[in-house]
Amino acid sequence: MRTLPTLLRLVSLLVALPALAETPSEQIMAQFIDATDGSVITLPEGRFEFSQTLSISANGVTIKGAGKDRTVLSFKGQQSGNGIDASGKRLTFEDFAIVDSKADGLKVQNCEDLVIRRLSVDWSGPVKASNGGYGLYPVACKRILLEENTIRGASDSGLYVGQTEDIIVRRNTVIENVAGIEIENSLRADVYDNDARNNTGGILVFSLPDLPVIRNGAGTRIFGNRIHDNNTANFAPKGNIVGLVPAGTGVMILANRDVEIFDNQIENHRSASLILTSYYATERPINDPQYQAQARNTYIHGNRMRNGGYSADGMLKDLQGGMRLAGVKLERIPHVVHDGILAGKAASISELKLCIRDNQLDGESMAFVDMRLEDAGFWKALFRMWEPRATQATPSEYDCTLPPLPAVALR
Amino acid sequence: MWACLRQLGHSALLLWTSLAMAATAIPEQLADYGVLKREGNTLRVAGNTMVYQLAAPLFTDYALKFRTLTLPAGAKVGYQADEVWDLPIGTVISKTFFYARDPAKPGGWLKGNKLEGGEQIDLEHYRLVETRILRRDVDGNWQANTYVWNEAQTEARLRRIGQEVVSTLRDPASGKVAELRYGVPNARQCQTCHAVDSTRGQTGIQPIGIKTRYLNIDYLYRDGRSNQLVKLGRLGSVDGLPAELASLPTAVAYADPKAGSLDARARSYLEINCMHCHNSLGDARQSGLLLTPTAEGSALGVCKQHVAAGAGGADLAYDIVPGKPEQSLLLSRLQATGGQAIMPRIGRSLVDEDGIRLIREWITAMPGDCVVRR
Repeated sequence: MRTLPTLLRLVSLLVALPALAETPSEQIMAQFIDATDGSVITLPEGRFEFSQTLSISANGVTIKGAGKDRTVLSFKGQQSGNGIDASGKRLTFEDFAIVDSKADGLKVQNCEDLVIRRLSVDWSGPVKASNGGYGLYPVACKRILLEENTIRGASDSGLYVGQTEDIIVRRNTVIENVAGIEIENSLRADVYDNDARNNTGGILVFSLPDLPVIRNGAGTRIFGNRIHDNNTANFAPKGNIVGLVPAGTGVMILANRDVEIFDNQIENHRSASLILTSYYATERPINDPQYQAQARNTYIHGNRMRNGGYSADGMLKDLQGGMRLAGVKLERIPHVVHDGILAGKAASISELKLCIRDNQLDGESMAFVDMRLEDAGFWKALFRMWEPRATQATPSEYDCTLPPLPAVALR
Repeated sequence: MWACLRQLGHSALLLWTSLAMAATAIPEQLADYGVLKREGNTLRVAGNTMVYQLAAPLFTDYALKFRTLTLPAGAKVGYQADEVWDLPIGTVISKTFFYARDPAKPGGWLKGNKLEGGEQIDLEHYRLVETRILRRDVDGNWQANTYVWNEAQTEARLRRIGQEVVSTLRDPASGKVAELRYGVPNARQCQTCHAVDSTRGQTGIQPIGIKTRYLNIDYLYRDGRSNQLVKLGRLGSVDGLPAELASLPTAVAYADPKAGSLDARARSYLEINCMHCHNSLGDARQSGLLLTPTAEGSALGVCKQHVAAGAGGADLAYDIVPGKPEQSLLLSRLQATGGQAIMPRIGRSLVDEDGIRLIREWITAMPGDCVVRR
């Protein structure tokens, strides 16, 4: 009588090592956990509910759904955690949707040769601060391709690439996030043919202090994107760095180097079409001696900017009021804004190599304002010791060109 | 029946070992490891096994913990002053998470009621939830898996995908009842804390507690009180164990106000609860927040702009604002019970009230501010 159970037990040990999964959701969880190098996980059509994070740590795994409107992974029942946590080399995620994760939708860390394609990440209902921070969040990776994804509702950034090298972000649609796309402390990124709309800020390239994997971001090309109507009120927690982004920002470059912004359509932004700023403008402390706080070597050319700065928000609104006090009355914020902070790190603006040339601007706003924020302040404004400078044309120290940046090549 | 299953497990294990020398199959049943056994209404240890506790333990939703270390017969153990001890192939470490049953509420559990030493658990009064196993495999790698106990407490079965165990936790002192959503980690989440180097993927995990400073305390065994290092020395032969145990370090028992300075207690708390991700090779390395015993300044979070807190940002800019615990994101995240804010992310759904008090006092006493002076 004992033989049969014995046999069954041995067979179960030998064959059914993936835990005895019961529900379809548990089966998917087991497939993720037990994925080994080279596995292909095919997610069936349907809606699957999870109360825990889906985790995967393996190499060469493809996770493929039946389409972003057909395979839906719902994390509505979660108490905490990301939708999917992943790490490994040569991971591919394709054709499914992640909804209502408590934290980030898909976080991939320490990865190499990552592909995320045709995914949807969304938080149902009106956008709110309690939505997860990031839709797609690759961090500390090398060689990543993110394409044709749709992300809506992230309370920080829809598509957020952090401390990563060699990045292509193309043909994605980002809607109603605080930041549509954010490239942070990364090296060599190509961001093109994306549609960024109705976010607080469309496309951001940031470099922040105290980040250990990549200290200073450099080398980002933003081109051929449609960046429009990014006027959603900023709903990020105020302490987050994107909490500082004024609603109605098309593109914002913070402290990054070697940036080329060209052939984009940037339209309908209540605060500004494009903001160039140093980290000093945040008025937050810098303790990192290796950190470079100024935006430098940035070439802005061939963009079409239309209908910008008509009702500034946040910090820009405050500055607009301050500038009026300083005698510079602006009906609209000019298309391109620079904080103008030298902080003793550069002798002149020309040294920063911020080049703006051959953009096609509507005549509604002035072309440019150098805020000279170092001098900003109530009394200085009153006594005209703060001299922000708005101009119809690009001032000579910004009228320059830079050699084109090389295209990103993924192996 | 029990013994029969165990025997079967052993034979299956042997079969596997002979079939695949590279890595041993993961047993389906906890009993197959032969380190814990149920006898009547008692969970006891089996084999060449010792029970131990840590000088400074991890907070896991007030769960009580029963830890065992099992060495192969005649095994040699390599002493390490600071690092994890070198344990032989075949070593099994178990950690059983359990709660006292609430006599006032069937199915409910109690906060506290810690065992004072001992080498067994009385199942009439305690409810076992899960037993986590670290086993050093034939290829030298550590395997991490967890086994979830059934309602009848007769068996614990392998659970690789994690599980949420829902119950209530009554505080006998205040009478307050909390909803408990205890999280059994999935197999990858084990790696999150146990990784030697998280940048190298899933390879390379190690135990956490088998370090001199965590073990160098007494435990009340059946045959009397003994230093755990001495006990370990009887379980196997320890290479290089200094004779003078008093000269060896002991982790600061953060819960005891007399155990050390406020700073030492807080740092000990952060080390065991946070450092396993927040170190330069850990799962949270990219945050730049290092909660190691030696981190200082912005690496420790002082006036450090947080970076990827996302929805956990709580309208606070810095991880720690000296003197201002309510403006410090670190404390805010320890106080959170869900969403993106909760830290640690694994193993906690309730607030560690005593831990919060300690960290608040620590930040309050910290000198300085985060004002930028121009």
